[in-house]
Amino acid sequence: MKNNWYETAMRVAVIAGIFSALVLAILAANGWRSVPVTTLKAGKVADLKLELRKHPKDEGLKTQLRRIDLQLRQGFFRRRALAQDGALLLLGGLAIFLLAVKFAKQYRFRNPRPDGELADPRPAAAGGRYAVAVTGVMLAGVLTGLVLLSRHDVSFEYLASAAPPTKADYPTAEALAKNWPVFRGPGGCGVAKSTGVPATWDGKKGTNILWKTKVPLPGENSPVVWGDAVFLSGANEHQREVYCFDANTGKLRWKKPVTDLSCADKSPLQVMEDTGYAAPTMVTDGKRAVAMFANGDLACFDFTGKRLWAKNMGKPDNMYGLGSSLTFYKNRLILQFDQGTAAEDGKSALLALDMTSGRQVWKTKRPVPTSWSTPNVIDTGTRAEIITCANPWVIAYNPEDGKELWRAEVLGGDVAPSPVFAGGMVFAVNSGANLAAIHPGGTGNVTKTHVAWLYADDLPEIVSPVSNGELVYIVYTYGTLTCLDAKTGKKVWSQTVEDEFKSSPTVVGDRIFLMDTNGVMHFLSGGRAYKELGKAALGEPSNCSPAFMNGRIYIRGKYNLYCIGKKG
Amino acid sequence: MKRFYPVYCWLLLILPTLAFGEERFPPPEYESTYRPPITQAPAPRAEWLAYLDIAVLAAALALAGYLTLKRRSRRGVFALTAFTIAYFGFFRHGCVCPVGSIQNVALAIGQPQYALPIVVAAFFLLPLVAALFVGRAFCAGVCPLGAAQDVVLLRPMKVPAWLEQALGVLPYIYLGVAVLFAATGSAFLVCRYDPFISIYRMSGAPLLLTITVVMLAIGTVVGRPYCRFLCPYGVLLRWLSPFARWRVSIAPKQCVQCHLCKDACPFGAIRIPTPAENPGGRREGKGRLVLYLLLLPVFLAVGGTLGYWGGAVLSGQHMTVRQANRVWLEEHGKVKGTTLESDAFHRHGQSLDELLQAATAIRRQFDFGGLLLGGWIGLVIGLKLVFLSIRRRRTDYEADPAACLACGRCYRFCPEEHAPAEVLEKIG
Amino acid sequence: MIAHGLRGLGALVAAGGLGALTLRGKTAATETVWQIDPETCTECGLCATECVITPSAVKCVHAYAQCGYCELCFGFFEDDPNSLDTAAENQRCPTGAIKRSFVEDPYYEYVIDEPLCIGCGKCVKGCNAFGNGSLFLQVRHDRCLNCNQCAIAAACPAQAFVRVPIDQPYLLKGREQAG
Repeated sequence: MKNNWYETAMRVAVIAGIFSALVLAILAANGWRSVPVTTLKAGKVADLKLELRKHPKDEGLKTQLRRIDLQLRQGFFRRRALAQDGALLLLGGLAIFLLAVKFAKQYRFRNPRPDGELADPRPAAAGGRYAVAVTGVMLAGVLTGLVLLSRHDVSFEYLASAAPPTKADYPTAEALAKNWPVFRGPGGCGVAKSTGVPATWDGKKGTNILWKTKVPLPGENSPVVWGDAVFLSGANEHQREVYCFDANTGKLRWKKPVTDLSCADKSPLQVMEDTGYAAPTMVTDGKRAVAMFANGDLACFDFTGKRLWAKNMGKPDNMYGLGSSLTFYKNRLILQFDQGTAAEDGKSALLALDMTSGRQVWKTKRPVPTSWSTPNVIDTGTRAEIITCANPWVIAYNPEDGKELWRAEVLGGDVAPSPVFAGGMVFAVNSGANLAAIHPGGTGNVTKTHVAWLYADDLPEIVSPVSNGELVYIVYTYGTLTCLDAKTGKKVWSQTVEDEFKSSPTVVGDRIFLMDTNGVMHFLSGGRAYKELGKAALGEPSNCSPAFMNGRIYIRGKYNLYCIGKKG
Repeated sequence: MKRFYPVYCWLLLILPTLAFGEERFPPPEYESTYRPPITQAPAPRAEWLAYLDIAVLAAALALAGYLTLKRRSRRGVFALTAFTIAYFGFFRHGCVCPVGSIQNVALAIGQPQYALPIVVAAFFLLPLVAALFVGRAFCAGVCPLGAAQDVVLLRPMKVPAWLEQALGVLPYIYLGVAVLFAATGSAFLVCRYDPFISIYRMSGAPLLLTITVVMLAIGTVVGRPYCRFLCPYGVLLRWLSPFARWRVSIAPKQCVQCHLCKDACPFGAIRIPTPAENPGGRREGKGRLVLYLLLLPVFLAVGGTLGYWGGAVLSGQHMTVRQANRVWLEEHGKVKGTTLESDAFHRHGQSLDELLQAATAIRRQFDFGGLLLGGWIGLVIGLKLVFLSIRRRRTDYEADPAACLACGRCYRFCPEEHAPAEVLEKIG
Repeated sequence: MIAHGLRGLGALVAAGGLGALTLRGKTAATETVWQIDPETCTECGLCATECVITPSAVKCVHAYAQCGYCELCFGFFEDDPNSLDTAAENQRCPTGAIKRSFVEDPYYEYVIDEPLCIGCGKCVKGCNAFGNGSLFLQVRHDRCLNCNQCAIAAACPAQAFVRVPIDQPYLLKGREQAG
């Protein structure tokens, strides 16, 4: 009886086994012949399609193509159905096979035949130790192989340059103060320490004009000066150039093009005519000069004109054209790269790049849309802060790691004026919102706690404010000048003049220098009453802010760079 | 107006465009009553069903412990195995399983932004907790991978002791490597190379199907090859099972050293008694033991150093590092052409700086991870040598608490199992 | 007794530690499923071949609200089609899974026949490049096995696969979200 069961079970097992093997073979063959999805349209079909392009009206060709295409598609789905059905059959066959074998096994249970001898465990243990040791050696070999492969790994190439520079390679505070390294001078607040500037000049007549040199390409960026080198950049739709002028003679020492920087977006750039293609002012730290252009090109040159590094930051999503100038903190280039029409676009960011290599040190996303204001690195006495202005926040960041320190909701609209710091307060302004005086040094949202005062009349939309610590001056584009008390925010005087202003004012000693769009510099008294002390004409229009150094003023007009100083 | 732009088409082909779907054509204004259909979004399996799986797992673990230890029923365990294949295997497609959950835990530890789902945490924890009480009952009838191997075992052969020791190192290595790649967010190796998952999915890539066939074929003659020589989760169970509250014992009451169960275990988990005399003397063994204990830090150091220096090539498993390497090579003109990864990079317009920074951070993780992995391998080898130098005196036939999979096959070999109650009482 | 207590304590500590790992961020403690971020996807075609099941769980999805209903649909038609009809030589889709039907002048409706779609993304490429981008790939959760490690996610060159909470399993495009 039992034998019958055993034999039956074994027969079932054999049949199921053969069946399973057959199904497996069919499935394997099916899989082998399966057409990958791509060839559904490639191969024969692709050839026929090429033919069809040459003879677009050939009906016979079309019929042939359609027939082959249908065959291919039907075959594809048929094979897929076969694979799925076959898998089920295979599973079923294997299950029956296994069950039958297990059933049969119970009739062939072999009784154990122990020999009662207990082996000495030592040889087995020794064998085990040798085997483990050999395994250990093999694993060590594998690890060594990994080490050898790792030696040539690509990642080492860029790992090395990720290390921060070992030596601090940036100018001292004294050196910075003696030059004009960034937009609106050392400190970025439009306060010139230079003495001995002339009281008047005339560009057409040449009075007190030391030299005047044509700038090859136009640009709205203002001059920056270090030692005897003056830097400017210029660009049009197709060309971008960086210039270095000799501060003593005005000679163009070198001009270098900025091209061939890869950018994913190759579509043509549109900028507003007023902004131009080279609006951001350059920076220089005594060894390098960095320029930024409206298409996102960023280039760094040394003082001899050799290009140290250059990269494209991506085409900015900026409807008027990139306007924020560069600034720097120690050896880090600071770039306010705000983009997008709404904060939710999430495109805006503040970046810090290493000045020597251009490598990004940190990047902090900003919850704001596009802005045209320049960031300002200030020293509150206890810490350094990067003050940025945009809609609707004034945000301060830690320059070491880019983390946000505080923010105040005081602005709105298209923010172009840049913030200044004087008398322990940050002044930020935009037309349609406020002129705000904020105490720095706070944490988090300080709108209710650190805003000293707000003022809302005749606010500028382009011109940045200036302050000597006691008084704050703001300039509305169409001629209204206002002076307020820095501590209380009360208006001290207000005056409307007939001129237009786009250039930012500068505090020079006890006077305020303010240039209108015709290139005429207005000298105002720095006292508590409005008094115009005089004017000096450049001889051509200008929107740029002047640079003051060693008793000289460098002004970029629409066509020429002027150096103004006492002759003789 | 017909919306047919023959000329404009060509212009669009010429002008490169941001290929992320800007709305180039305004929404249609229908004159008829046509309304566009709604995009269908079929829901996934209901979340509460996943919690039901946890309950089923807990019940199955309890049942496995009961069947193995209390009822001592091989048939019962087999029936549970069949249920596991049906439910955890084919119904749930073998995923998520406790073996793979190690990687999720590692990922949660290594990457702070990953939140470990409760179900995965439960699948990781429950069999380990069960091991503290009923030993490796999970392996017996609840693990779908073990079940697949269990049912194909037809004619088990004995693996020589030295080979078993050598292969026994592999699960530790696999655990270390899997944890490294999971914690860095590079890959889930255990899932990718799971030999039995293609059975439960009933489909798979050719390589994986081949591995499945090979493993099943080996599994017909070698008992549970994956469980014994590869399973990383088994490493954790091995550590906990010796502390179990209730252990598998071959003899229900008292071993009488009849030797009948000597070759009963197809998985080599029976520890046989040692001879009465202590051959060789004690000093020989002690010297060796001390030597291996002293060598342990050496193994750790060597392994750790090799692992640290070998981390770079392993980091290529991470997609970001791979992408960064490729883009860097292309930017510096060392390779021609592009790959899908570098194309994706260029298309997104990400800055190379950011990519290289991200890749650098991961590479640093691999330096540290490689150090840990190398040290771990050194530690495993060293400790295995130490344990193989310790001699234990045994009088009874015992189930190795760490290795016994609680399958219950050995019970029928013991005469006590079949003895009538009165005889048992006399013994016990 | 002490042993019992230690076992229980060990289990509790482990549970606590794991619990800490579950409570983080958006997907805290919930089950997650895989989904494709259509803004990141580069339509490379690996979705059709890498999925562990056949056919792939990734299908093309149509956001009708965003569709332009163009007669010359760049997702339906190949580049420079021979004629604007449903003939095989004109279609971009290798399996003919997009069904084109006339609505009213000049609008045509394009519907995806899901059983035929293999998730290769060719139509998505065309629609993104020249159309409104209303066709995009999504993981279909009535097919997806929700593997612990999605094989497509591991292969995706754009790293477009993300884990999303199970109660929000789709990342749909379009002016309106689907029902």
